[in-house]
Amino acid sequence: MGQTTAPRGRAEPLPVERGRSYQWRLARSGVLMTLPALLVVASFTVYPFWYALNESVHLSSPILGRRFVGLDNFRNVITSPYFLDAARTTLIFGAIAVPVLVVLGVLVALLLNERFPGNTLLRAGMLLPWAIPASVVGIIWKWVFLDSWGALNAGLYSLGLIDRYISWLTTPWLARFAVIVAFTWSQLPLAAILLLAALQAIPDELYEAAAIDGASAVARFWAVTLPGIRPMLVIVTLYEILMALNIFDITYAMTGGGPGTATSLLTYYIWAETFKMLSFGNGAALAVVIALLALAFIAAIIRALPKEALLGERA
Amino acid sequence: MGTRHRTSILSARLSRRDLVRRGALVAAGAGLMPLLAACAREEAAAPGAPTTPQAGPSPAAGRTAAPGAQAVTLDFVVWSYSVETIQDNIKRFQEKYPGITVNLSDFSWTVYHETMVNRFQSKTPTDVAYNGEDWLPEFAAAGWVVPLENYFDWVKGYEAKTFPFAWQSMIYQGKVYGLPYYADTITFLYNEKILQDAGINSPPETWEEVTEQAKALQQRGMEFPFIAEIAQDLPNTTSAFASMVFGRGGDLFDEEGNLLLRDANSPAAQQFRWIVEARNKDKILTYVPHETDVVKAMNTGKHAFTVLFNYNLAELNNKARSPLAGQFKLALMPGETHECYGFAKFYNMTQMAVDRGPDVIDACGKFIQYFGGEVDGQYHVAKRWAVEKGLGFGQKPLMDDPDVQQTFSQWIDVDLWKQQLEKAKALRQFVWYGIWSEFFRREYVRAIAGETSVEDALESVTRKWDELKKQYGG
Amino acid sequence: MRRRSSAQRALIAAGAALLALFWFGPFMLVGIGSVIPEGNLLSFPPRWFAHPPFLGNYRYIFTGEIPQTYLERGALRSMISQEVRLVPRAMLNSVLIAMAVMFLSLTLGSLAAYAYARLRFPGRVATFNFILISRLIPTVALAIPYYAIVLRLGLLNTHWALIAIYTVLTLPFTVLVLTLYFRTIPGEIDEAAQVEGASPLQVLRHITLPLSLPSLVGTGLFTFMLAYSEFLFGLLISTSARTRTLPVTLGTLSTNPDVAWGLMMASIVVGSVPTLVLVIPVWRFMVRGLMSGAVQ
Repeated sequence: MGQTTAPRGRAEPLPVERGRSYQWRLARSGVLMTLPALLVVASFTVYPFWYALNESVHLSSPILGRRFVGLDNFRNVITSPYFLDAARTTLIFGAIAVPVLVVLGVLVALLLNERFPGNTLLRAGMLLPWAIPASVVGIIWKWVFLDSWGALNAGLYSLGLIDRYISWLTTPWLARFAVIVAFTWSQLPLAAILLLAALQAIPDELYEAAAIDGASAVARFWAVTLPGIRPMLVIVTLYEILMALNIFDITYAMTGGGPGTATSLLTYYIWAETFKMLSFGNGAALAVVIALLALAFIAAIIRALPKEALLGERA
Repeated sequence: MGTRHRTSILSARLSRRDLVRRGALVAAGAGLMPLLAACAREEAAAPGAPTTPQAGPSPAAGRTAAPGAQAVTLDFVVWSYSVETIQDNIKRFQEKYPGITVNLSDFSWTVYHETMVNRFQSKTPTDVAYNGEDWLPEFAAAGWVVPLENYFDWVKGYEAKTFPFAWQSMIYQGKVYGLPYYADTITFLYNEKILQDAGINSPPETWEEVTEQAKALQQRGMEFPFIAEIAQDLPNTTSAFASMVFGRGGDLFDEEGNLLLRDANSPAAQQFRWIVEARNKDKILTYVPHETDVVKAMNTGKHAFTVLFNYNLAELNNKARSPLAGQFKLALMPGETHECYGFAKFYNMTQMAVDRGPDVIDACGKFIQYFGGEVDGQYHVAKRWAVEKGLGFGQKPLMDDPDVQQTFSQWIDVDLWKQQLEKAKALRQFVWYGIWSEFFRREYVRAIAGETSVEDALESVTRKWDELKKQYGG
Repeated sequence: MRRRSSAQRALIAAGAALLALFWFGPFMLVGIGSVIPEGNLLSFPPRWFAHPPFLGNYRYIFTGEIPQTYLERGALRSMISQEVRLVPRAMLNSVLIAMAVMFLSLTLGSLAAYAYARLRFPGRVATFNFILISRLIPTVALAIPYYAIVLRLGLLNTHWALIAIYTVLTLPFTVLVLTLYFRTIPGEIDEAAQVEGASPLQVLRHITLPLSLPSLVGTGLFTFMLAYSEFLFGLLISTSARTRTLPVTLGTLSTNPDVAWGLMMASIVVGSVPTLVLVIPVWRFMVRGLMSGAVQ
């Protein structure tokens, strides 16, 4: 057990009379306090990770049986045109949706941080899109964008803005746009709430000091606001990257992955390989590839941050 | 509030109690999993199957078995369609066979195949399940479902009473695996009034005529006269394509298991090209990802033609809900032979049921015969589906049933429908078909969206077919 | 309070209006869709408002009374499915599961987060990273192993299974956010308390948690929402209407050919109500927490 090991790392300055036994008690508390969460996470992580890794190096099919194939599955999925398409679409999707979400999240948080009539209504209202299950988000936005009887077409037509219905969901770039709008709608509330909480934690004195120094509003944003919300920006970005990589329900309710493969994402490919094509090995290999991609993304972002931003030593 | 104030409150509250509570909390956290397991045991301790929780409040759960008969519980898995009717059928079945209790589980149609793969793979108790023609080869080859005729003598007797297309759908490697839940066709449906208004007096007979009529309708301001259900993730899309190919007198594969899309002049390749050009060259076609969307779109009056599961015509002509009800008609599938795709969805017994022993096999037999066959001279369940829900059927005798005829005549020209049924045929079955179909749909939708050419798409699906054929042993 | 010029005020008003349209627009369309008879909804050119609002869909969900229009003579199928009536039950299931997940995730999460934010102990960095990266494998790929665990524990078709899975899925986020937040609270307060002999758990309970109310509420909301809206595991693990969650029930309805569009829309409206009822007080509380934090 870890409790008996002497704690490593730099200790906080401590009252002299308590000394090592006090440190030891704190370390033991640390272990005990993290243990429940660790056990819960580990119980549902170790076996699934092992399972996925193990499957990924086996030919695993209920029809063809099971045997070790080394890295064949990885070669299969990576060289498949299916993978390249889906990876490209997913990257395009993430590259647009995540920055849009982060920027809009900051803007909405700044807006909601102002005083204006209806502010509370907006704050409460944004919980609604967030509370809607993703599968239903897809249905709602399908109702908006549908080509033949969608609400947007009906509205624009009634207002005389268009003279024929627009093929939102069967034109590739419009369909991508529609899916990104739906995704943004469902994800923006969380981003905005978290960033708003961070904004409100910035002491007013900092702004006042900057104002006294004669900084413009824009300069105050860069000098005070941005550094203040940086840790939360990191969280939001990381979280949205994960969400963008995992998006599944929205696209399939709205477009069925189409038109063509315009909205077919990697997660659908895993689903199809595993459950539709009954190739559990390929599905697992793909999952490992996606996990590695996500890890690379996140590592790159964390590396770009100052060291203490997440769990470094306290300043 | 100041920090000083807080700390002084804190010191006043220090007590042994906190320490005890801390210990309890940690213990609770560490013991979470066994705790949860214990809760589950309570939940699962309901009467019935020893290995699985009850799937629903079963009316017969507490009943004692009939004298002499062993009490048996069956796990029955369906896709979610009219679950209340299924429950009622189960109730009637249990009244007739008091020794048998049936647990029902249901899953959405769109993910049914995936859910069943997961269930079989993890050996979740399942005795009888709905199955479909395009999954049968996989499930049978994986050893998940068993041929009925290996266990029950009465099965063969149903061959003469079942439409050939439906019977064929339930056969894998010469053995019959089920009795039909329902059987239907994928047909060509059109809006008669729109055609008449445009001065077109009869529906198209060939695909060239479909294009011609569509262009005539376009002249009159209709943007997309043809609407189809096309989605990468739904097997329906491949089946609908096959149905159109059948109309031309073609097929997707021959007896030896060669794919017929390679030759550009084959009916299959021609139809592939027709669809792609209808979208990209003639611009007469649009599509939506689900059949329910097609039904609604057709009801806007902005489309005249579609190819769809035939039961949708009942909904199209449903006076209560469809604004244009009454305008929709069936036409024989365009093409040289007017054949079309026919299929059966059916009740299948699982290997898990067989492993449970003769009592369970016997109960499964009674169940499947009651639901899909004839008991006391009646097709209780199939007739009910036909009359109450307009589902098609594979059981020939129902065609002469006055109740069935009366209800069907409300939404379809029954004589024409009989003609189409005679021309319906099932797709040949190969283990790798489902896997290939997934790949095919991807190339199909890419060609339709203009992401690839017809030639490249046909080349690529053929290569995939050959590869799979080799892999899965031909 | 910073003062705003009139140009800035106009900008804020415009932004707020746009935002309101974006948040509420789709909902208004859903609401409209739920009270327009199908015939008008599908008409072209659109004649949505040719009829007075039609409330039959709502009446059906709660009372089972089939709307007159669906019973019209000559209609073959009623085109209404009893499955729609499962929506209230599914809502209850989802709320219960989500509350349990929120409670568990916050309890376990704040314990761990405090330790990560304040204490030095062996394995600190390693276990923190482990918890964080546990979410990297796409959930689609975890479906089979998760299901296998649940099956082995005999938890199939129980709420416990979903509670456990959602707790696992939310914990990494809870731990991350709370750790970051706890680190923003000045350490001197803790030290003062420790000098008086308080254990870390007591400091957490009596100092850190009360000071972190806004982030606790925010994180709690997050876990609630995730549990309330998760689809994939809800689908695989609940095999009967009795235990099914709201997203799965609504997902099933959306592809059921017997469910009218208006009925679907009404189900969505009904399914969103508990969220509003539950969330608005929580939100008020959170805003107050944020405000008092700001004042302090």
